[in-house]
Amino acid sequence: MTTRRKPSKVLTRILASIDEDTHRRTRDRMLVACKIADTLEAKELTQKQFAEMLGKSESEISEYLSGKRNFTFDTLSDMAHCLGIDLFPLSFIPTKRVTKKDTEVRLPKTRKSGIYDMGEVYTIAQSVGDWRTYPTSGCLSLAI
Amino acid sequence: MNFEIVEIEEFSGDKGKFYSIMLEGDDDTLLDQFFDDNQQYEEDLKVIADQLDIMGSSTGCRIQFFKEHEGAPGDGVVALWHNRLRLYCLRFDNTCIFIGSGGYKQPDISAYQENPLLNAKARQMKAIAASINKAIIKKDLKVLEDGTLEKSDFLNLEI
Repeated sequence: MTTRRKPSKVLTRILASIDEDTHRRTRDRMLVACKIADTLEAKELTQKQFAEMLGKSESEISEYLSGKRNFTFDTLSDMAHCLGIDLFPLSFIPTKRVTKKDTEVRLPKTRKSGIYDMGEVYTIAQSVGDWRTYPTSGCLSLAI
Repeated sequence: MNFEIVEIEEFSGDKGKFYSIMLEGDDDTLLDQFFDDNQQYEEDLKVIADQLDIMGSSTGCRIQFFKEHEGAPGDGVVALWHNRLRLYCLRFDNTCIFIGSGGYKQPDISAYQENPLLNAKARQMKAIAASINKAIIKKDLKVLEDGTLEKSDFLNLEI
């Protein structure tokens, strides 16, 4: 094979002009498309059958699988549900118990505080020297 | 006319190797010429280039990214496309693609055969595919598992 190729300046310029965000989105779309295609193959489903399950046209499915079409969240959810796969691991979001202390508002001692009444009258004393804690209340907006 | 196979390093990566065709007497490949000839469709070229890059680095050259049945039955000729821009390729498998040229498919055309320029590019790719496939059958050209090529001293590619 030869090494005397003179690369196209247009190609070089175009590659340099692709921004990171666009590249990331395209890559993610293509990777999701790969996962869906692999699942269809494993389940021996045709694109036509998949389209019918989703109530979409075959050409729409083909566009999604080509990595060119932007999936909406609902479409992804429907596809995952149809295929019985996890396209986004929401079940792994950790939760933790919140104590009463975690709900208290703590003000830094070096700052003055003000209060905007958005429903209930509530005051927070100016902090002098110490941290002061007060329970939170309904419609409270704090200006610091 | 003889031709050479040239690796396109801008796109080749761990997941796929990309090659294009340098015709006898040229110093650029059909892929380079495709970008030069279609630079007015810059946004479409960007999408095609981005996809080629991602295939090389992340996904491989999976058939779902291409339009099939663009050549003779079973010859492996496919098209990479965005909107109305077409780029004809010979897809060997997920790890190896030989890229030819292509062009813009006008809105009033349903098949590439109706457009003389596009038809010429598709036919060129079919002829290139026939030559490469023949060389592979004769074992003068071998595509390894990772998409790299091995060629014998008797390799002679022509269209």
